[in-house]
Amino acid sequence: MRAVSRLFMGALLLALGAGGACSSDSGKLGNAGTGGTGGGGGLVGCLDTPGTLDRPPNGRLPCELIPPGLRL
Amino acid sequence: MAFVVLPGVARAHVSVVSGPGFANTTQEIVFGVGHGCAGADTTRVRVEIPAGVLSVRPLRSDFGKPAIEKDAAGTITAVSWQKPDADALDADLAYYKLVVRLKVPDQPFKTIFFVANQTCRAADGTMSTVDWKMLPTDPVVDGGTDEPAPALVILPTRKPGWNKYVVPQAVPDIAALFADAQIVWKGTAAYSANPTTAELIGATPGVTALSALAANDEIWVKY
Repeated sequence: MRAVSRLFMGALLLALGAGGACSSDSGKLGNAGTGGTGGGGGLVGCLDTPGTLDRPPNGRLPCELIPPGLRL
Repeated sequence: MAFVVLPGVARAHVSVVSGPGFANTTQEIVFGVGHGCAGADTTRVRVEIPAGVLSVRPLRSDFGKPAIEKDAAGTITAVSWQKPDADALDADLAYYKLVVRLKVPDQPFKTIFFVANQTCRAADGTMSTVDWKMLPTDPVVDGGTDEPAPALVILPTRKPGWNKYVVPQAVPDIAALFADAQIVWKGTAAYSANPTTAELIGATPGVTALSALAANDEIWVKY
């Protein structure tokens, strides 16, 4: 009985953890490669969006070439 | 012994080949002598030290030990290197480097000039000289055959990553100062010497091309 309960709790925690990670990652990917969106849809520097992932050039300046504080 | 002055001979070249200077920094400045004079080997080079350049210490070179000239206050005003005539090569086939360690003036975004005189000796003993003395502000005379003085571009000290500067005076040609920067920004205008980055600047909405700076402009530069 105790073993079944532990299994159930473990599965529940795994499911919660996976869901949280997925939602967090999708937000970061949306910012990556175009300098980040910072909520306004424009480009901002990497320093303004820590955690964004490096991506190959997509035709626009990457966030690492946008100076701190500039929002395009 | 014949001695001739050769203005604009074969586009010979004495120039600073060590890259930009950094304001208020002691560093080695290298003068490269790319050619002799009309086929003759270089035997002597004299470089005038502009005002404001201090702590001048020339290094020995292929020409031997350096000689210095001072003003009444004891400030070094010129440095020269000369090799014995017997060491002159039969033809203009060597490249020479002449090094001076000095303290660069604290004048970022400015270019200073080192007027130089080059002396050459041909195989038959004929001596000739070329003066590297023309400044960008000098009027063009004699069909523009005067030779340009070696120029040292002075940049502010920098760190890898983003650097913020206020430009003290106008910079008409941004390319001359920021050839080794990843990108330069003034507001939403940007410049990069890298052709790929320059293309991205042109393709990014809201970004315009930056080509010149005015006095007191605030800029971001990434190295």
